[in-house]
Amino acid sequence: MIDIAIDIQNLRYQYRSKNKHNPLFHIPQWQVVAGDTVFLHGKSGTGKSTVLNLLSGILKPLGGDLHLLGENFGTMKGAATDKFRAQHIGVVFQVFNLIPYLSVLENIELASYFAKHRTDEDTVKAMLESLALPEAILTQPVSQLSVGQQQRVAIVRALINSPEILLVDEPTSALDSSARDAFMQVLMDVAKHKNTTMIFVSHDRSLAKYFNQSQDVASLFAMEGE
Amino acid sequence: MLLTVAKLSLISRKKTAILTFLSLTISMLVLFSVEHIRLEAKNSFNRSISGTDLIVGAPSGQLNLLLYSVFRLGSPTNNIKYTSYELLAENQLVDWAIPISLGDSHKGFRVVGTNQSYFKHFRYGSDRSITIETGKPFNGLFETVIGADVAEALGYKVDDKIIIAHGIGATSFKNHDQAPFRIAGILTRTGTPVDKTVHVSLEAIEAIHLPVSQLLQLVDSPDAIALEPATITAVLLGLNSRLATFRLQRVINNYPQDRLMAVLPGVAMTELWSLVGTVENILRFIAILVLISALFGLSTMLLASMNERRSEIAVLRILGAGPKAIVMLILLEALLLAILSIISAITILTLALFSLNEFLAAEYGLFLTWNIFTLELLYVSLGVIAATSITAALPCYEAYKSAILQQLSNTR
Repeated sequence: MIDIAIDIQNLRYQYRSKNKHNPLFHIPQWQVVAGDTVFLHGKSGTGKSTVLNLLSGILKPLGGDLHLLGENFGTMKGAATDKFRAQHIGVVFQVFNLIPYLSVLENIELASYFAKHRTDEDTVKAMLESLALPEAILTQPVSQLSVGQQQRVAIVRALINSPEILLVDEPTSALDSSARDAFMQVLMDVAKHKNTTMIFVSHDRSLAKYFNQSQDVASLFAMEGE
Repeated sequence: MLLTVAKLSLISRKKTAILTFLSLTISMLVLFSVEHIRLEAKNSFNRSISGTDLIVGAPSGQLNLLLYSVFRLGSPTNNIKYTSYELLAENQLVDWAIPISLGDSHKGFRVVGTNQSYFKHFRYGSDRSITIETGKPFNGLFETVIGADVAEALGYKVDDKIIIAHGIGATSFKNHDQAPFRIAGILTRTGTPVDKTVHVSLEAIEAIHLPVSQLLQLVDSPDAIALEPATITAVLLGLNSRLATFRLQRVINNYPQDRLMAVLPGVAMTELWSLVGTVENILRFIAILVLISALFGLSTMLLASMNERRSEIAVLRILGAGPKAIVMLILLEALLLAILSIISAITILTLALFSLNEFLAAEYGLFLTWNIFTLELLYVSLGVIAATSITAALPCYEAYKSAILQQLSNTR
């Protein structure tokens, strides 16, 4: 039997605001098999962030089913959502992934703290090595790191609790092309090594080659809300 | 872990955090000082005199009489006749009478002319009599008994010779330096103005005001001239029965041969305290206002930081921090600053009191202990912490709201 990491049925969401009429997002059906790496592309405003917000539990669906790893994530209460996110979901943003006044190690420990795990230093060091980061970086304040280094530390941080699902949002937009290629390579290696299900959102279609699935975000949605 | 984050977050906002910390510390210093001085003043106040039923002096205000006869503050306006003292001492209602003659000083410490009944009958604190730590009461004409503070401040021992000056300043143009006094005894510390007093006999006061030639005669043979004091400053009276207090007071106030006034020390003390008490309440009120403004400063600092912290909160949320953890973080920062300020304020106050103790006692008659750890202090500190939590509520609410509304898209 194949494990389904993400299972969406008939999911609906609408942003609330007083004045304007917001579009209704409706995903009739979407499934991602555990261990798959999915590339979601699309222009801004097509709902990429909405999908990530729903998958990370920051937004709660108005209706329909959202199962993650077999659990009914869509109906979980706030505290349970936060705990589930801490333990099972890793997130890497476009920019500003790290708390600037903490050291690299403290940033990583923070992730373990909220997941109620202990930070295993050996694991951290092994991950740093596989991401081509020097060990000395651990005690440095984040503000001293280059953007490329920060993004790689963000991966370590996102994967430190061995989450089953990794959500990645335009992580390479602040990187030049050589740094971007290096970054993508280590990201894919680490994810494959850990057998992580990855949802990768970007407008840059040239990155699609790294993934075993590629999909236009717009194709997820039914057209009724337009 | 949250504590570490709160700590480092404050450090990252060093400048505003330090300024907030300073304003909190100063306001708490003011608050704690006022509280401490209030308690201590009341204590040292009430223990200054005990067992005395009436204070008799020349007519002036009852406060004035109390201040110079008991607290050795201010100057006596007028003297009373020595014969009035003798009459009072022999009155059948009177158990004991202590004569007090003021007006001279030794290096800033007041000199009191009195007699043996002072050592026998004077009471302070809870009915404690004064005792002599080393030496004996004065006996001869040029002998003196000094208070513990005098001995300590000037480094005097028994048998040392000291010079008494006319007037009450620390330096005087008219030193009676032909007639040195031998220190016969040093009193045990009382924590009252007695500690700062140089005691001599009434005859000695008369002697040092004689012309130099006569004074030198006396130094050679103390009995050469008969010394009968003509006037004294005040009399402390202890009565056989307290019930007679008012009767005797009326008799004294209407005494035709001398202008006299008798006051009840308790009543005068209460009047003095109510004067001080108003000031104390005003001080307390100002201290609380200062604290409130400092707490608003803290609240402002946290609120102002909320904008730049939006992305920080997004990161924490995505790591699985619930809105409660975010609120906790802000609250921790506020409490961390408040507690640090309390600790610094207490430390500074203790050190200040420790080093200024002597100065305050000598200059202002304030006997403050440097030990400020009372139950009151604990209550005040808890009150401050509670007030901090309340003022931190607004920034906490902001943090909570932004934690709830936080979306990935907002981080762009």
